[in-house]
Amino acid sequence: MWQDIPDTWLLEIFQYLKFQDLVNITAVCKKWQRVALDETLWRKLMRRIYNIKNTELAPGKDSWYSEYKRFYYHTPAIESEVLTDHTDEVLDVAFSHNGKYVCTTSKDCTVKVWEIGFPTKLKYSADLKEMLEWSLTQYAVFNKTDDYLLVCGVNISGPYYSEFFMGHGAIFDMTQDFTIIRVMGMNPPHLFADWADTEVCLGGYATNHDHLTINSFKVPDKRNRRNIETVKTPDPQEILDNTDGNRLCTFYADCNHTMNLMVANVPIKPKPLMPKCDINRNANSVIYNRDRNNGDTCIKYLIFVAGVHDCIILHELKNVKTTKDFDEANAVRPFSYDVIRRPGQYISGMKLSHDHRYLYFNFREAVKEEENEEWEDYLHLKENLQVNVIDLQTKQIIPDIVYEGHKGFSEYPAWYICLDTSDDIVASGSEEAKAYLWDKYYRCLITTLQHKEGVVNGLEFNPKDCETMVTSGDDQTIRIWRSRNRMKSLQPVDFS
Amino acid sequence: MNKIVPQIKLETYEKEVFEIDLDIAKKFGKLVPVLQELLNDDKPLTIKTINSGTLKKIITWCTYHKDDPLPPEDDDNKMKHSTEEVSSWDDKFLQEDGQAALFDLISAAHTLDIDGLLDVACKVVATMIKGKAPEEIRKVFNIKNDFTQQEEDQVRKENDWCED
Repeated sequence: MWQDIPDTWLLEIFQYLKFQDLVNITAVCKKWQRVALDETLWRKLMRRIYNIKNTELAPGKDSWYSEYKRFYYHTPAIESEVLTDHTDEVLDVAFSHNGKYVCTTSKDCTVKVWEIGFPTKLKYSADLKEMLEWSLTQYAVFNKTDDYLLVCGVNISGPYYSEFFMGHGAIFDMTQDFTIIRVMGMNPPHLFADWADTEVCLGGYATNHDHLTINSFKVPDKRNRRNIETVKTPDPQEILDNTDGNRLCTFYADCNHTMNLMVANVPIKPKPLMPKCDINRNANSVIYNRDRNNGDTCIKYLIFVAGVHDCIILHELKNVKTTKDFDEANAVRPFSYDVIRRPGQYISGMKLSHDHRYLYFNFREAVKEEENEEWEDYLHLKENLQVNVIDLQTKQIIPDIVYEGHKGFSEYPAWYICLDTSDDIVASGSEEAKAYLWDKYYRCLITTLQHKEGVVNGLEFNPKDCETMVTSGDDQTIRIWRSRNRMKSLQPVDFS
Repeated sequence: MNKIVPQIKLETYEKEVFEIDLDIAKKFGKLVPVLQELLNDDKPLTIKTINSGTLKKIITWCTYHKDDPLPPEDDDNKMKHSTEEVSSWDDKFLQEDGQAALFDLISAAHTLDIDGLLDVACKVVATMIKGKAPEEIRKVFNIKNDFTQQEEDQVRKENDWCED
C-alpha cells in the first residue's frame, strides 16, 4: 500500500523529516527517491533551517538540494586543529596567495608562518621584540608572488614615543629562509600597509594630526641586501625625518582615525548584470559575480578609512615611482580622490573581494546624542555590527545588501573587526568569541565558528580552497576550520 | 432536554450509515460546500473508499480536537506549526490500531480533506521513518526494493555527504 500512494501524499509526510532522513530514504525505492529529492521539500528545509526568504536560487546554482549540501557539507564548519603556539592574543591571519601558507601576528610580538596541511605545521617564527624591539606584531600581507611578506608592528615604548605609537614595517623574504630584508617606519600603526605591486609596498607616515603622507618602500635588490644581523629598526628620528621611504602622496586628514590602508586592482570593464533579473534582485546579481580578475585591465586604487572612521578614501594610483622625486602623477589634489561618507557610522574593518571589484566593510552605528556635536557622537556605538559592500567600479554602496547579526562591544575607538569573502560566503569576526559566515547571495547565516573568549581578530578563507578557513582570537589560539567534505578526506587511513 | 443537534449522514464502504454532528462535519473540508444540502437530505452520502472503522476513528479524533484553534495561514507560523511535536494523545490514538489503520486514516483524511488530522498523521508516519536504515524502512512499510545493486550502490555513494 505505501508503495502505491500518490506523490503528493508522500510529500506531505516527507516535509516533516530532517535532511539526514530525507537523504537516507532516497535509498528505499525509486518512488521515494524521486519524491525525497523534490525541490519543494528542500526549498522548505532551506527556509526552515537557514531562514532563507528568497524564492529563487542564486544564479548558477542547480537546486535547493545542492544548496543545502553546499551549506552543510562544503562550508568550513568543523574545527580540525587548534594551534596554541602564540602566548598572547593573536591579532591577524593572512594567507599566501597560493594557499600554502598562513601568517599570524600577535601581541606576543612574534610573527609565525604556518604550512597548511593536516596537521598544519609551524614553518617559520620570528621574535620581533628580540630582533627589532617591537612591542607587538599586528598585521601581515604577502606580495602577489608570495616571495615577500610585509609585517606591520608597533613599538609602544620607544624613546621617541610622543603623540602616537610608533608603527613599523618589516619585509621578510620567503625565498631566503624568512630573513628580514627591509625595515620601515609606518605610522600611524593602525593604518596597516599593503603591496602596490610585487616589489613595492605602501605605508603611512604621519608627522602631525592633520596630514597623512603615504610612502612607498621598495624591496631591496638581492645584490644590495644586508644580512639580518645588520637590518635594524630605523632610527626613530630617521622615520620622523621621512628619509626612509619615498613620499607618494599626502592627504589632509585626521591621522588619528585613519585605518586599514589597502591597494585594490579594480577590473575596469563593468561585468554584465545577470540576465533576467528583476529590480529586486539587481543588487544581488551585481555582487554575485564569480569572474576572476585577469589583471590586465585594472584601475589601481589606494583605499583607507579616514574622518572619524566614517568615510572611506579612494585615490587612483598611477605607476608608483620609487625614486625620491616628487610623484606628480599620484599627487593628491582637490577632487582628485573619492570619499564615500557614512555619517553616523563607525567603520571598523574593510576587505577586498578576491577579484578586487568589491570592498566589504564592517561598521557599527553611533548612538545619536543631541547634546553632542560632530564626532563626539561616535563615542557611543551600538552593539550591532553590519557589513555593507561598495562596488569599486561605480564607487557606490550597493543598496540593500547587509550581512548582520554579529556584535561589537568595545567603545570608541573600537577594535578592528576582520572580514573576508569567498565566492559564495561573507565571513566576519566579532567581539563575542565567534566568526560569522553568511551566504553571499541569500544573506542568511550559515554557521558560526566558536572561539573560547574575547574577540575573533583574524579570519581568512584559504584563497585556493574556500572549504578551509583560519581564525584567530584573543584566546591566543589559531583555529583551522574545514568543511565536512574536507574532514572526510582527512580521516586517517587505517593500515592495520 | 434533548437539544436537537443538526446532523448529516455518511455511508461507509460496509454500507453502515453514520450520523455526524454538524460541528464535526464542518471539519471535513470536502463536505463544506455541500453541508446545507446534506442537512436537508435524508439520504446518506456514500463514501465507498472509507471503511466504518476509519470513519469511527475520524469522528473520535474530530470530537477530541473540536475546540482546536484554526491552523495558521501565514508562512512563518505555518513553519512553526510544522515543527511542533505530536501530542501523546494523538500519537497513541493514531498508532494503536497498527500501520494499516494509520494508512487508511491518511487516505480518508485526504478524501475528506481534514487538514489537522492529515498533518498529525503525516507527522506520526514521519517519526516512523526517522533514524531508520533503508532496509528497515522497507520492512516496516512493506516496500519492495526496485533498485539494482549497482543503482543502490550509486545512491548510497551520493548520500554519503550527510553521514556523521
